[in-house]
Amino acid sequence: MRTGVTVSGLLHVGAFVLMVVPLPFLMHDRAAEMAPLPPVVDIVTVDEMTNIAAAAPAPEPTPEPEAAKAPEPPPPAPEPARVVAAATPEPEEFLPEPEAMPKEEPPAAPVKMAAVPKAKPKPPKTPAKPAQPPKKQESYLDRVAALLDKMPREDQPAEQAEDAKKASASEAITLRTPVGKANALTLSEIDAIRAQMARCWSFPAGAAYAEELVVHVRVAFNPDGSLSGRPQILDTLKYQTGDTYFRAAADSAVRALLRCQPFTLPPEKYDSWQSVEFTFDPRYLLGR
Amino acid sequence: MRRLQLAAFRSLFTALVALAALMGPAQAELKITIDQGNANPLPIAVVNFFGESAQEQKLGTDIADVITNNLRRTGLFYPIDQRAFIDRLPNFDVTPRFTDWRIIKADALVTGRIVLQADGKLVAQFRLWDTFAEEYVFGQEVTNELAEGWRRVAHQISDLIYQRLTGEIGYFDTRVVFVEERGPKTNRVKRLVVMDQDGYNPTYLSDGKHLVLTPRYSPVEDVIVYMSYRSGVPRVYLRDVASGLEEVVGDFPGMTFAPRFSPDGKQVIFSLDDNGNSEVYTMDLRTRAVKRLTFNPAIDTSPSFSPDGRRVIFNSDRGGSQQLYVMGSDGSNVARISFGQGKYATPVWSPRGDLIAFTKIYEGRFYIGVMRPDGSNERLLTESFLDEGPTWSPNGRVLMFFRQEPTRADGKGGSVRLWSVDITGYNERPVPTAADASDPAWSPRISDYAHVRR
Repeated sequence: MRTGVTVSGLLHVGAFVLMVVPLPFLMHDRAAEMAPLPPVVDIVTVDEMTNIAAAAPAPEPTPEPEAAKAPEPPPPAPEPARVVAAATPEPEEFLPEPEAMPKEEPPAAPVKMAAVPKAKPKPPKTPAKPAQPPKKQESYLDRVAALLDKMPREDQPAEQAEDAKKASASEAITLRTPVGKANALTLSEIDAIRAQMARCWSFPAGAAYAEELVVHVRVAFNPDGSLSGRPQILDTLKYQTGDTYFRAAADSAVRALLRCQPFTLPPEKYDSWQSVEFTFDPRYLLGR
Repeated sequence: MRRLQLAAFRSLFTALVALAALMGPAQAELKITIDQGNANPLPIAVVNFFGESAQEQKLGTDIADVITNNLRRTGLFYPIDQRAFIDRLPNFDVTPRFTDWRIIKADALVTGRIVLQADGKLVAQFRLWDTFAEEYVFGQEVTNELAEGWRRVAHQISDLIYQRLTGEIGYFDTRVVFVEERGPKTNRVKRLVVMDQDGYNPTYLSDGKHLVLTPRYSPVEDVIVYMSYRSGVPRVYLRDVASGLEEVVGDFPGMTFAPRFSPDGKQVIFSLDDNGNSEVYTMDLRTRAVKRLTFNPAIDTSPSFSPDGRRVIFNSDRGGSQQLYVMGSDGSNVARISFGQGKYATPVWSPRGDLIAFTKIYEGRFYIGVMRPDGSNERLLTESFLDEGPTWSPNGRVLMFFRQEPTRADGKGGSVRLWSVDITGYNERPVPTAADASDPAWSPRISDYAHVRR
């Protein structure tokens, strides 16, 4: 009985001491013991989260060098003619010396539009593009399957999982039908473009009727992120019918695109951004 | 078991995605919405206009200066210092080397030429270039009967460039009438002055012997209406600015401000005070018929028409404090639109119709602000010891007003000057005048009324 009480008392005291005294010194060894364990880190890129990505082989840029190059040769010829016409003020506005100007213009003129395509040579693009017909043979099903196949299974050793992944990827490439979204830009990549444009797009603040000034522009890109031609304003009718506010807004959008190039875009996803439709919406900018 | 689950999940997921793929287009073009930009001013290079003779060259330089100054004052453009120019264009007819202009970060380029004809006419041609698109944008020719009209030519060219690049109609080819104040506080000499919007070419319209007050410009003619004590009692006068011809509109005892014109210039609207009860009236300038619009024991004053002439904004203390009210131009449907703290005064409807400018007095400070005609989106643009009397540029983009500094204990200070501010609230700038100035009123564009000059 007495011993019981003593033992009980000692144990209680011991328990109390354990509770009150900070115990890092007790834990220290164990902590040191645990430290060496490598943390299990799965490195996941954003696109894996935001995209339903294709298996490894997919990121080849789309070939079609013919298609991309085809439009190039024609421009130089018609352009100079247009430049001369453009550089000469509208006849009804400029009365004197209409013939003097064309005379002067030609030497300088070809620089104009011709320079745009010239400035962005396609050559770098060509070598990087071994045509890959099999790539086109994909579908959503493939990519989903590929993605799922990539998931390691717990009951499989790592090597096996790796093999399975490779196998299913190649299977996906060879067996199924085409699809295009494999290389879609991630949200953060799109945000990067938006941030870049925000620095380049100066809009005359305070313009009236901001809701009327939403501009749609189609842009064709070279693989290096430069523009492969003049941005095309899609609201052509509105642009041409003489709404000065809209014309100024559209011009500011085009100017921003021209000024902002080259864009930093992932080259491996070129086929998803070689043509982009931009919507310039000044409503938020104008606070209305 | 786990495997089975995974397999089931996989097939379900595959089916869902397949369904989505069937519903959506196979390959949609990438679409990106840009809703963020900046309000940085557009960098622009204005080259001195070319000329053959020394006189033409001098005019070319002066005109380029005025255009540069106009564009800079808008806050929307950043004119590049000419010393930075790399491309020394040999003459007006060459296409610029766009790369040289892009190096100095000029987005737009203006070139021009001045020709003084044998008959004394001044002919100015100009071209606007887009250096990034490497394109000729547009060009035009502006003429003036006299070489002395070169400032106006420069303003007209500024308007055309401004309109092409911002979409807004320009406001450089305009004038401003105001009250010039000289002398000590106890013996102020006040004279009516008309000047170009940039402060140049001032013309005195009165000799300073009599008190003049609150000039207002007609929105369609080169005509002003103002109040003068010339005959000992306050009278309202109409004056043709170019000819100097005047007529008395009438005697209005109890009138504290000059009337404002209706948008068509055929009527004026004003308030009259009768033993502390002021009411809003209109008067037809041809028939001189007067019509009363408000019937309320409270003070109703400072009326201004909407640009379509259908509504009137005014201020009233009928609700207990001085606030802004809108009514039909026949006095119907009175509705209060301002509900903020403080007092609201001198409301003016924008010529664009989208905003109402006002003076606000709150806790001893004065503000110039704007709000929509329904009272929403109130924004205060300026703040000072005393800001008052906003007047709109004819394109509804800029407000001019006057600002008084506090008088110091030693009796100094207290100067009154004209200022302008953009409706965005940016770009607050003093307007240069030779002496103290108050009560500005902006004219319509000269080219808009030149053909109706009587």
